[in-house]
Amino acid sequence: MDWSPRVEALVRELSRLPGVGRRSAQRLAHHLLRCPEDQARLLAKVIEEARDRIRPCARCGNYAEEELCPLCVDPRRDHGILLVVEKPSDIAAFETTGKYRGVYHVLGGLLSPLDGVGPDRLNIATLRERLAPGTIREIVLATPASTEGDSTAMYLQRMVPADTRVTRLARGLPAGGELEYSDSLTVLQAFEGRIPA
Amino acid sequence: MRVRRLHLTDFRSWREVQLEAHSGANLLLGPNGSGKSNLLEALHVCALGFSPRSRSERDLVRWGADRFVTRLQASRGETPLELAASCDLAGRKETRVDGTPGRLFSRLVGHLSVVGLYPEDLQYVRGGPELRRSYLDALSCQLDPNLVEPLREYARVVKQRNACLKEGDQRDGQMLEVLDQQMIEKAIPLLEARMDLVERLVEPVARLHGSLSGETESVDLFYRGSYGSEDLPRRGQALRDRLEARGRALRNAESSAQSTLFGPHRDELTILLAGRPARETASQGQTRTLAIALRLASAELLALHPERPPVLLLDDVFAELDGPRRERLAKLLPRGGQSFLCSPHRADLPFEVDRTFLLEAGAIRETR
Ligand SMILES: Nc1ncnc2c1ncn2[C@@H]1O[C@H](COP(=O)(O)OP(=O)(O)OP(=O)(O)O)[C@@H](O)[C@H]1O
Ligand SMILES: [Mg+2]
Ligand SMILES: [Zn+2]
Repeated sequence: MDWSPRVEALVRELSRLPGVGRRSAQRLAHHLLRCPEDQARLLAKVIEEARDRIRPCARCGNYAEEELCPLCVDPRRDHGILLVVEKPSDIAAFETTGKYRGVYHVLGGLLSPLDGVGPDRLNIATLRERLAPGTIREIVLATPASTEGDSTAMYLQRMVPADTRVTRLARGLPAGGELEYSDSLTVLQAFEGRIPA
Repeated sequence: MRVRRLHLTDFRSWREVQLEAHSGANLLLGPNGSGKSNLLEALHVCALGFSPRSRSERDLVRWGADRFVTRLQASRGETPLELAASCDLAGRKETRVDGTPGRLFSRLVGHLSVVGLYPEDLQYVRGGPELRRSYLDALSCQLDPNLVEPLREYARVVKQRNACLKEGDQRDGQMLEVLDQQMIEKAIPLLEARMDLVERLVEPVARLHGSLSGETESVDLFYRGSYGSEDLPRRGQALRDRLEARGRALRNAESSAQSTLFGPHRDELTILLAGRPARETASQGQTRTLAIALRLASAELLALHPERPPVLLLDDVFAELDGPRRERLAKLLPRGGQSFLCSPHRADLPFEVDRTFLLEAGAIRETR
């Protein structure tokens, strides 16, 4: 059926979202057009504001509204231990365990020559700065258990100064398993059982 | 171990068909093109996760249909086993192992041992080295399913490494060094498994070839690595050292070739017949008996596992042999296990079968 072009545009944009097929996009579009007007406008507004205000933290690459993210400026966190993850959503997996008290570094991807992703495309230069000798006691390489996750960890390991302990997550996580979809007990066990890299 | 029932939907020429198998010898009888080999292929896909004839699972979808499903019920001693695989034209795959869903076809391997003898097996002797590598790897995975994942990972790392070599101008060469290390890490268990397997195959292949052909010429198998002329160390640190040295020696050649020039994906299994490479010198008949010997040797190794006497798939193998060789092959086939044979004529068969299925007009009829 032919919708008016604006409805069609709404459906099209929604169906670009991850996990949203054309059918669910139509359902969401109908909902947005029929729900109370304030609600739809509020959604548009928060999306716009989030996109305007949120940028990568200048230190760790996490979502931030200021120069630095809340985790990086929190004096109660242990700034001597650094956990390296692929993407911001992985941070949530560790935060929900409530047990990790160090800080993070978000790479923004994994090294993969096949996809044209080299070190320059990732947030690696700032990591190098953060690892200046004498600043970090331990770095935990929490990249996923895949061939690309392994290459990335091995690459990073080579730039860690000698006085910093390097560990990797225990292989409690399923191979290729996504951190963000793992339950917090599994994540916690992988962290507690971390092994020297 | 035995197959009880096979059910196909839109697989190759079959729209919908079910076969209730006997625990002994099952004969599929039907004219050329009636779908006999297609049935064996479906069994092979369920048990091993790949087709012996096609690289792409999409080819298995019946023309005009959009998805095939093949389901196999078997038993391992008293325990029932169910394996199922499907794939649609878009290449979306699903598998089930005892009801547990997954996507990769490779997870099917290791539950039901199967050895197929196909007319195309001549290529294992005559064709390119990639075929002999895949013969070794497919058998290794059946003997030890823990090798499935390392094989996939190794192939992935080689792709990454080739991409890295193509980019050229490595700013600091660190990424390539990482991939070198990773590739060698993944190569070691594969090489150990292949070399062990070749060692175990030498005696049975030579013996079976002798019994089958009635010839006394010597047969030898020998694993030739892409690592220089000396013998490859069998395992551990010595093997690792050799791979690393090879990587250093080939550095420049690899940069100009922009691809990975050493490793399990470049190795060769050489079959020697009377001291000469069979690939180049074996006659038509010798090629055939060698190919059969490779398969029967696989069956022997699999049969060492007490729970896993392999199910044999015999695709018209007798037709290609002369009278004496036919008789000898019949004697060499493992006894007491289950087999599926196909043939256009009953006359080709040198032994009794337990159940006969007539294939005609897209249906199967069981006869006595
Ligand atoms: N994807 C497909 N969809 C439909 N038909 C197919 C498909 N692939 C192959 N076929 C058909 O299946 C038939 C071949 O079946 P099969 O190889 O099983 O024959 P066969 O009984 O083994 O014959 P032969 O005795 O000659 O070996 C061919 O006629 C071919 O056209
Ligand atoms: Mg056939
Ligand atoms: Zn931060």
